[in-house]
Amino acid sequence: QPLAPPALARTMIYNMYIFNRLGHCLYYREWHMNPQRPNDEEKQRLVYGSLYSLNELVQKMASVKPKDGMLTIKTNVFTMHQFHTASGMRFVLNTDNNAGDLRQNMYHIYAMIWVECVVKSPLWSPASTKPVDSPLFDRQLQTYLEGLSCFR
Amino acid sequence: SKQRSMSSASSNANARLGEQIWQKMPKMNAEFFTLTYGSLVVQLVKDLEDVQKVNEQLEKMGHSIGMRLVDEFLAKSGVTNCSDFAETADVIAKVAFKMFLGVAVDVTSWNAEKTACSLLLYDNPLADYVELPVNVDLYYSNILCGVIRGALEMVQLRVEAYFVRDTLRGDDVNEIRLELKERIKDEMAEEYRRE
Repeated sequence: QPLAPPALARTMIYNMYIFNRLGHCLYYREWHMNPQRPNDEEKQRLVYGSLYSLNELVQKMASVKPKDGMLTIKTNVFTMHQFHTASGMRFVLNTDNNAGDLRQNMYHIYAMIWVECVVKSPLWSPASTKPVDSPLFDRQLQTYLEGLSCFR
Repeated sequence: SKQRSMSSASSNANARLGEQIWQKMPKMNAEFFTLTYGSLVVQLVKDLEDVQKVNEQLEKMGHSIGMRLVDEFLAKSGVTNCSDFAETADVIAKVAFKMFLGVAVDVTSWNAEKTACSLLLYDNPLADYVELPVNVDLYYSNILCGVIRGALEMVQLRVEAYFVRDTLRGDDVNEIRLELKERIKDEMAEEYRRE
């Protein structure tokens, strides 16, 4: 079931990764992806490795220090939005090129959904390197994204 | 980066931020909090017998708490980057201690290199109604030192935090010494390093 009927679609969301500060992928979810290109560990490492290198590049090249952790990469077929927290977590959202600035949305996912559902759960540990299994997090994330007008 | 003291303007801004978030935080009954912590310490003393082991265990538990707490702190405070360790200490004192424990904390006694300071706690909710026997080497609130260490580790700072004065041991104020040991470089998991 697509998130929005094509005629009214503003932005299509493709998938989402959440990495911890060591690069372990703690969460992956996809919405509209080509089924012939499944998610696998190699792809996760590629995404993380690219973002890690880009971050180094930005730090070395930028003349001003970035004030928040938002990085947006626009290619001709998709836009990758990365929200990097001071604690080293990376929230990565891939959308089509119609998305605007998703900074506030990604901050909300971190602060209101990740922290409340996962960080505060006694069943999860910050030292964990395995993917998170939290139906509560899945539901709240889905509800939040479906409720956003830009994704309708 | 150039080390400097916190200007009073930025410190006041941090204090206001701390107060604002404290107002919005969900609260729990203070006595319940104090008694729960007290039961924990009593149980540890019974189980471990050796007071030094209790101090270590409290610090270790605090470390685990700190690792989780940091994300809640970052999420609720909106604090992103601190430009130097002086700012980090001020944020811990004025924002974090305020929003989680509701207490005002001062930062004092900086060393010349600006890598060590003292956090002065005048109020300590953990220790309300608590009395320690005389000549016991227990740092009752040592969990706080662990929380600070665990939280800062997650933002790439390796620190040591320890009590130098404790009102439960007869001092007039609680003083936690905070020392920056090193800035931890970005680490990557094993599978990336191979490539």
